[in-house]
Amino acid sequence: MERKPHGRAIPGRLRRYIAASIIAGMGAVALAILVDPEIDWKIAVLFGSLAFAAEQFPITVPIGSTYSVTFILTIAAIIIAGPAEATIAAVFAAISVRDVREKPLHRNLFNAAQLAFMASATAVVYQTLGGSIGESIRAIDASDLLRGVIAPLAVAVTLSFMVNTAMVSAAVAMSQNMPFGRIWRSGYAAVWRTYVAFALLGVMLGVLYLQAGPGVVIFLLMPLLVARHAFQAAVAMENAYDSTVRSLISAIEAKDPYTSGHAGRVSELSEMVARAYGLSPQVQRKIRYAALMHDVGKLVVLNKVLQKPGKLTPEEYEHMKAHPVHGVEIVSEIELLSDALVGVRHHHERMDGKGYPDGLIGDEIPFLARLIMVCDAFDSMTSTRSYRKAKNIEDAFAELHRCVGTQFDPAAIEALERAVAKEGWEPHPETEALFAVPVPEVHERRHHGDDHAASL
Amino acid sequence: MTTRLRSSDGATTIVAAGLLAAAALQGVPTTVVFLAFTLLIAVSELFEVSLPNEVPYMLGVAPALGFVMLGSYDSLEVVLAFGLGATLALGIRALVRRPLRIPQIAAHTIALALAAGVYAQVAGLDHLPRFEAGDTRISPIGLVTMFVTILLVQSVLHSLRIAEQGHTRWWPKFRGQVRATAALQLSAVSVGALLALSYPSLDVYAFLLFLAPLAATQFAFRQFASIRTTYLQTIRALSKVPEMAGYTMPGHSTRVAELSVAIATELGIPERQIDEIEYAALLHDIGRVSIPDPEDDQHAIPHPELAMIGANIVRETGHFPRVADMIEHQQDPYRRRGEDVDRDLPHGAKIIKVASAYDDLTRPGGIGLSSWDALEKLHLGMAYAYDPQVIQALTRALEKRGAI
Repeated sequence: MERKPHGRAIPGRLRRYIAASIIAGMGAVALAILVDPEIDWKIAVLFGSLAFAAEQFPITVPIGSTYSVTFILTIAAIIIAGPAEATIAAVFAAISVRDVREKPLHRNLFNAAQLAFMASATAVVYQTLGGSIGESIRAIDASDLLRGVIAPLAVAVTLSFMVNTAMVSAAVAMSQNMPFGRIWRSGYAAVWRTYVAFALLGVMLGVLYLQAGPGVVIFLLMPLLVARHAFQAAVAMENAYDSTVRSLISAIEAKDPYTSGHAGRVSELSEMVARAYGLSPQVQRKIRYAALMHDVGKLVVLNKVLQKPGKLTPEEYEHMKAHPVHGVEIVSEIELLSDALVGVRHHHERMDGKGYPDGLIGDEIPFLARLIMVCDAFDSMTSTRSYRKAKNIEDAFAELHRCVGTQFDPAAIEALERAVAKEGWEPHPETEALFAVPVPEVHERRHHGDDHAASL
Repeated sequence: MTTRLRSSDGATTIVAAGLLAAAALQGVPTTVVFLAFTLLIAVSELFEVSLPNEVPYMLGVAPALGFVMLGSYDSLEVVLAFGLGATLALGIRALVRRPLRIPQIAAHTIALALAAGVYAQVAGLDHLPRFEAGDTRISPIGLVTMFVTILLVQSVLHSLRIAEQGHTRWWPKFRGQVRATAALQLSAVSVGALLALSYPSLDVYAFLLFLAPLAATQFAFRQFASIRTTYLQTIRALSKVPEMAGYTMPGHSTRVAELSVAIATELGIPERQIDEIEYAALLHDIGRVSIPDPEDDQHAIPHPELAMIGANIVRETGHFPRVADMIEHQQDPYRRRGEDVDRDLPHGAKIIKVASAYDDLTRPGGIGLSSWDALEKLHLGMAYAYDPQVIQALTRALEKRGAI
């Protein structure tokens, strides 16, 4: 989810770093052109245009990692023509129309410098290690291919990949004030496999281009376009899924209009915590949906119990306490949530064992459940309800800390505090109308009684 | 899952086995190239993707097509390599207890044999343009005919099989299959061409390179399939809310969805619309959650209004305008007294109306009529309430299930 752009100025350290990177990028372009005896403009322009076209339609693979054809084209250009052409082609790729319009200038320049640097570094290292370029590959045989192309390229790509990801991680670490190591691991640990596959594709494209002519580009592009199409369909479907589940949940929970949007916000808070902890995108996604659906079981609880002003009778309390179990029953067939069901079942357990449904104590309660519980309480307190006004963030955390040990897990509170400090949180003073048709109000609304600090 | 042998499966398998036997009688080549391609086919056959219509597809066809384009072996020898490779992969799947997919392998064998034959004919024409690399010459027009052949043959075989399995018409299934596999088959042909072009110079490294686009394709399709599955599972899960809360009878929405899909299939409605009808049927009672308590008078809010609330809940998602329309009109009669048939009424709405009424009449613990009596009652409503075509489709669907 895209957060609002931060209005604050770029810190000085980051500014100097970006300036240095841009100069390094320009140096890389110059170096690539200097070491290349002769520039084949046909190749530079052909691959540059292909890369440019590819970058106009970038695709984010659902659930993490990105997918860019530029890298394949750069590798192919190195093999076909050498450092200068590959670097020029990579610079073409940096001119993405959408980014130029939507992102600040310094980020565009930084990205362009990164692309140029990556291409130039890979190419120059490749050439230095004696990698074959151009004509000599036309009649290459298999054993020469390993020694003359694949081995030097593997070294070059590994080196430039390390340097490139390190430089980007450093910039992100400085701008978001996060530890470098964590960003590097969470952002790039999973990407290397894609890079290996793409490097191999680049080799294939380069060698075939030299041997069979430009026509082969289409054979390579075809499967990539098909894969891209499938990725795009998957991304579209993921977005549709997200908004569908959100609106279904909020529509269903509109049975109780005073908590409207609550599940969505608990989900957002839980995901923020997962993100702050650098959990993988897949796990973030599970947590997001588990938190979104954590309270569906409440729909099974009768309204007259849910909204009873006074003390519940023992039978009514039992009926109420069954809602996490009903929730699990409802969402149990969603495979995505299979290992997150504990979060739904135990989100009303208390650290002192007085919660329900199983009366688990302390560490017996799964962390996901402790996290949902804290986010749930935090959002309840920072939202206006019929019977009280919203607390501000500091007061809400103070209240949470007051209940440490009896109700809440201090680690979960601390995790939420960190996430909120990092990404900010807008308390939710007003409830909004959810859909056009008014929900018929048969009962008059009364005291609601779901103050979480008082444990419902 | 039924495991009884279907005649189309039987016929396909026999034809495929016949092809392989003929190829084997002609002699098994013992060259390194033949062996290498057989192994590559076996490995690729283990890459399995699930198509948008949930049909499994193994990628072993791609290297086999490349083997055809290499041009040094005749069509039957390529079919033999595919058969041996696929059998090897089958053995591995059996060892790790994965589904065997014999009918799919048989269909792929036949489609490959025809595609190889067609390609050999077209590529043999001397005056056509070609791509050349080493000893490989690839005819672009041959590629196109190969693509069309394999797509059509494979889709026909598949749709006949599904039509027989579900006792439905094959044409909508055929269209669905062509739509679902065209991109993938195009990929297979392209990757095959890459393999054939690179093999003469790159030797076994061509195989390694070849696996990269294959893996990318598999990854992309897997992502799509997993999100789609989650989607449907979530809608199913949420559709249980009204019944768990006591607004409707247990299992009602699931049964109505199943029956609606069966009726829609009988009516020959395209696959994509059937998906939407399934969603609408699952969610048709979602509006009832707006009744504060199930113990309240369920008639306090008129049914059309509940349908409208449900439709608006779905409309709010912004992704299923047609599903919302179906839910909105689920109560509407197919025609009103003195008026013509309402042509704008969505098919799905008419189907859900019938399926829901049938379930209300027959479910145990409810009115509890027999299937016959329920049908008779629905027939009485045919003049205005229920669309006669839908009732006929329901009758056929029930017959096929052996319910009547």
